[in-house]
Amino acid sequence: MVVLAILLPILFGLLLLLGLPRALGVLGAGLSLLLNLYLFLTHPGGVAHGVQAPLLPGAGVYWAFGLDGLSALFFLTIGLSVLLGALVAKVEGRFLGLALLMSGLLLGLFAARDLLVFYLFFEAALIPALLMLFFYGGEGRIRAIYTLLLFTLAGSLPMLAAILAVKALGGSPTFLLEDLLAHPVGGNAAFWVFLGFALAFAVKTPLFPVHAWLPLFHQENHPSGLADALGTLYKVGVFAFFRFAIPLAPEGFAELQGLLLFLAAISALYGAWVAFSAKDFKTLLAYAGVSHMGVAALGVFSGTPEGALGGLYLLAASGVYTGGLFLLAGRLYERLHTLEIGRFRGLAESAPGLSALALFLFLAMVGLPGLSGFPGELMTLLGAYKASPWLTALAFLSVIAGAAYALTAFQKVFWEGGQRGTEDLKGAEWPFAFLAVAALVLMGVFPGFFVKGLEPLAEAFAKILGGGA
Amino acid sequence: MWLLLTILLPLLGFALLGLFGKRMREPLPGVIASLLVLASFLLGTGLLLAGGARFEAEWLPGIPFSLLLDNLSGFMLLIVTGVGFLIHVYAIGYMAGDAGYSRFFAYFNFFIAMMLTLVLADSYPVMFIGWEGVGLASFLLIGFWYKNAQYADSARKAFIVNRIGDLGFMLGMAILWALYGTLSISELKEALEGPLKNPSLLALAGLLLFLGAVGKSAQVPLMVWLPDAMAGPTPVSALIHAATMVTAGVYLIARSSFLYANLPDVSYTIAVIGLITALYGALSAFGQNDIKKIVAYSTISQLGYMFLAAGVGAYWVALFHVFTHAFFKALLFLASGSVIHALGGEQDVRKMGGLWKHLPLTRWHGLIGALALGGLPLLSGFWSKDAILTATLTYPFGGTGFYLGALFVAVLTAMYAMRWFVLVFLGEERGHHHPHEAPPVMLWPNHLLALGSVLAGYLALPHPLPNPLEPFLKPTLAELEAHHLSLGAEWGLIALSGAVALLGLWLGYTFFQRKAFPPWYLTFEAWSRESFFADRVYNALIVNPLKALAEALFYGDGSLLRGYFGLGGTVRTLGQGIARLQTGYLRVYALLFVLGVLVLLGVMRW
Repeated sequence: MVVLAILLPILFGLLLLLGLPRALGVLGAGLSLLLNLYLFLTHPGGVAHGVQAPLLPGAGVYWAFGLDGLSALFFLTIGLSVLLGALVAKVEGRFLGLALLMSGLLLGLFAARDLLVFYLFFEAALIPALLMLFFYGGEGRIRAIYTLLLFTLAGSLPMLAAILAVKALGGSPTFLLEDLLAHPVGGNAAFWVFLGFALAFAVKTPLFPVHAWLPLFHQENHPSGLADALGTLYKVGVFAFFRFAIPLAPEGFAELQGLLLFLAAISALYGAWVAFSAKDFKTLLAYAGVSHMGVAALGVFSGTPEGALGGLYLLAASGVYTGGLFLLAGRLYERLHTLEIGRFRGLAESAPGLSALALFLFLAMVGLPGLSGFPGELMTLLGAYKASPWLTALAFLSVIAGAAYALTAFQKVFWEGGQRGTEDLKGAEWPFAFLAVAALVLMGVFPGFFVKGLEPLAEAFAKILGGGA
Repeated sequence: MWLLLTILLPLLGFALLGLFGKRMREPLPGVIASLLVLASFLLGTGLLLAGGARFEAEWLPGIPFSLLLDNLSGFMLLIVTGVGFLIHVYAIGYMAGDAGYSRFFAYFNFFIAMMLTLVLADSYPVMFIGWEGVGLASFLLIGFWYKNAQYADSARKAFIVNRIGDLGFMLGMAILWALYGTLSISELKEALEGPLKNPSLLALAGLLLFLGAVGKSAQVPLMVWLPDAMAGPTPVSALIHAATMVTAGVYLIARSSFLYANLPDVSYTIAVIGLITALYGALSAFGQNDIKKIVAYSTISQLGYMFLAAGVGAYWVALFHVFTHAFFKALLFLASGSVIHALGGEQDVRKMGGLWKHLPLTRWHGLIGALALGGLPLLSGFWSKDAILTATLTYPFGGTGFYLGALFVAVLTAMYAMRWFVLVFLGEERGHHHPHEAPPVMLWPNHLLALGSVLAGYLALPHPLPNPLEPFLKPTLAELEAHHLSLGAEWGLIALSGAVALLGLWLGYTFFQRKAFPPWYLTFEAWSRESFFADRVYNALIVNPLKALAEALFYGDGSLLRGYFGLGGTVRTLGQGIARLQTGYLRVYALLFVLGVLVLLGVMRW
């Protein structure tokens, strides 16, 4: 089942790359979401649908996939985000094909139960991202590609070393997650192993100061927002810290916890603050993303069950609303051929539906209770406070800064007087708006339903670090 | 389940009007919205009479979605839905013909739903849902006429300033969670009955929660958003920015009285902030020329009174003032609305005057409202304000200083209330309008509010007269032993406060009918008009520096990337340099080797 769920978007992606029409891609994205939804709803708890086949049995590498509560949640949000993108991004079939391909690789990454397989997907997902940037990006795309590659490689090589070291030093017979967890690395080596992971994952969180690739990445990507939405899903650092880096080398994490909490708090505040000065939509969303990932990372780094649960839920939720906002920016670009915030004004009058959708997305992003951003933020707060009251207070200043940048942008674009009229929601934008709002509200009102599968994992995580209930 | 329905009914109205309102003809959206609030009111009353109710559903791990209808929340529910219903009805007339008619009522119903969530919550996170929800409703309604950039700015300002308080609320929750492992109000109440776990940290939590109240209730120093909030349509000012939402901070303190009763220092701070705010609001009201802004500053001032009462420990008295204030302040706003309506949108009191003969009913609404605010004996405002004055002397956290300060503010209140009335209704006509009285749909709510403004005070008369309110609320509030004054002293004080109010009213009535004012007053007025420059000081000291820093960080972030590439370049240069070191001479290698060892040894020792 899991393998099917991973292969389905990859298969559709390949078909589209061969030149089949875009509509097929929408179908693929829809089927993928339905399958993922089914997997989520029928998830029995524990690691479900596990499969395991030898890849390099001599080296202890296995094709191992499985769906735990965490993966199931991300399957759902990834499926949803991709469908949202497929519905509205008016791009050619091949572009959508790359997006589907990437989403399949991301699903693989979230379902991997073998460290090397995870690594494989983690790196492979970069390829469609780069291709989308290369073929459909803006004028400065080469520089953006160069930057992204440089940052990624700077993280990947130490990570590969860390992966090999984890097995060798911990004495695990295989790279399978459960084997590795049974043989954590201890002592001095733990520090270096963790550091190797940390760099790669910090780049992909992204944490200050290695976030510098992100604004460029978003600015240069196609204005439809499709590549940005996928790029948002690719920010898997917080997940990877939780699933691999911290449990595999808890002693190493313990040594760096203070620094990481500090960087996460700085990212949260800094991102929100800088976002306030952003002149165009994508830059704004890029920095807003840094801020949110800072909060999410703070939750996981707190090492508490509440914090980890909150951080991961925030990560899952932000995939939908940040992606949704990128796609919304794409809708605006298609209408008015600009992404500059100062050049819209007063769109609410001619496009009330679009305006309402934007408000929902923005409010979810700034953590308004009742929408999907808040539960994660609250649980993060409660957990992180236990780990570090002062850094938590610092990080949560972003609550104020977030309201400032989000509402300023909303006001500039949709309120105030302006001659610019534009079309309201039309065609496929209606199901897009409906799905997005439904997701925001459901995830905000019934978070307990979505995090049920996460709870035991967060508890186990905290136990590894010597805390938890 | 029935309890949840009180919230769901107006929420349903929001969804219904938001989605299909545009297709309905006036006044259908207004009627639907009003009826839903009425239904909520009736349902709430029924549940309260049946002895209260509880509701609990799963929400987050360790944090259920729990609601509680007890006497305290029931009392607030009746104010919110009762006064809320009247203002809904008024708005049917006031908003007639507005392009955003159905949108207005959608937001209005949303507000009621969120306010009920806030009031009925039995855990702080649930209260926070309502807390931020009403903030959102306030944002949307202040910016209702969003095409005006200034109004839009006001809306945004209100939300952001409130968020400062909200951060306090959130951090306060974090401390309580860390200390007690629960955020349920009922459970915390029980947990706090024993000896306190960590008094200083608990005091910090109390202070942070109070910061939330300071933001929501526009207390000093976060009061700057409320005057600007008058940009919204007048029914919004009456419902949200006078009668209900802004009193949420007082409600928070009362709901958390089990906490604050244990924290004398924090309570003292609350009382001081309350008194300062009461004074600040009153002094700022004098210089205002916008008919609504005068009332807005008086709201800030009256909220200060409520916090003063809550701070000294007289929680039920604070709620009593919430109750009477809801009537007379809603009345003042709606009467202002009728005046604005009559003058075709005019809000400047300098262009009003002489409306006494044109508005035969609204003039009585304005008079009753102003007199109740000014504390004319026997009207509602008199009884509740007097209860606060007495409480500053009898409750444990009170003191004579609070009493004298509050008495002084009472004189000021009576004076500016009269200024408002004189400038609007008396004297000669200064504008060129053809005033017309409001339609019945706007008059009838005001009749009822006027009735309330007269009678609401009789719910809690001073000893030994009947006082049903105190025993009604008592079981839900923390017990603080108030010492009783002798009958003579108590009624002496009542006579004093009555005399003071009469003095203030008379002073205001005569002074503001003058043609020319003495120079000292003009100086004071100039300062008062700018509300003592709070906005400018904040902009200069806080807002602008923060914005500038945001710009600086933004450009700094751009160079961060260049810095990385610069670093790459440096590494390359360094590499080439090192390559040059590979000279092949053994002695150079030896030297490098020794140096390396020295460095390593140094590192290891360090």
